[in-house]
Amino acid sequence: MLLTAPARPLLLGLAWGLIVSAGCAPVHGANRNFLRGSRNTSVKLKHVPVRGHTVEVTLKNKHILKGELYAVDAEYIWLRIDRRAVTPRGIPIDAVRGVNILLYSSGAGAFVAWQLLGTAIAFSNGLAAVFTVPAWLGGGIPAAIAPFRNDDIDLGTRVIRSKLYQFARFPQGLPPKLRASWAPD
Amino acid sequence: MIRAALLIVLCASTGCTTVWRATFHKPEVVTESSSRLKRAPFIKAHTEDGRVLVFDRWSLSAGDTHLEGNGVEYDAFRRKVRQGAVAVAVQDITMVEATEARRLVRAEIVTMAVMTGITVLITGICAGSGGCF
Repeated sequence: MLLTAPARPLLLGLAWGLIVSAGCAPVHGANRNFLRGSRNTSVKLKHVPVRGHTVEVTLKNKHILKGELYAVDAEYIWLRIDRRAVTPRGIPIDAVRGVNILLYSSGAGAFVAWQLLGTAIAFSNGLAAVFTVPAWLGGGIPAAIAPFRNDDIDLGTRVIRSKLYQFARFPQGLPPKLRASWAPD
Repeated sequence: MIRAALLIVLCASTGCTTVWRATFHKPEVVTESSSRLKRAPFIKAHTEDGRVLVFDRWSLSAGDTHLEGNGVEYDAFRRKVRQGAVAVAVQDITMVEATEARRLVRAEIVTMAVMTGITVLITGICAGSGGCF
């Protein structure tokens, strides 16, 4: 197949970038027991997290609420929206369109800045820019987009009750005494 | 060994992300002789009143009434209550979470780093020789 010289690095970069962006999703089937990665044995006891994941709850009226996931039960998703407050807010599950769970901080904004800077520097490569600029466009853009795709999980309404508890501070449900005092009127 | 060394170098140069794998069990699992919990580096015992005890070593007391071991106990508001030798009555446990840290090597960081290295190298050569233009 005849490819012009600039097209080769672009296609090679694009292929590599697609592999990078497709292959790194750290979770399978929204189950925490399928999170990928090599075993990290250097973690100390005090670093084991005991709070809930940060989640974004999208309501049917398109409002988005973000906060620490306390618990989920048959009626409500309990979300601590205000960091200074202890009391979570009970969001009726019937009003929810979907939930996005943040697994880790991806630094996606920094990747986009890195990509733009790298492409700009590639233009200073003289004749070699014929290869480096397409490589940055083909490989850098998918690599810069990958963090946006891989750092979170989306849950639809059908699986909220069965999957979301795994990411909560209280996976067993809110303590009854606290639930009684926090339940919406 | 080589793989581990490569991983350390990669993580040191690019930064790795830690995610926490977890499996959830009914409280009866602590009294079972199965190995479901034995491979986990940490377990969390969640109680009905919202406390959580994180263990890195654990065993059952005589009579199987308490889960005890080395760990940290937090209250429902996640204030540290106790550290070191901690124990919880088995009847107070409502859920057991076996958890372990997993290290994610960010392939996109590696890709970007390699491309940056090549680009900067070419830029340096071009600046030195002036023959690129």
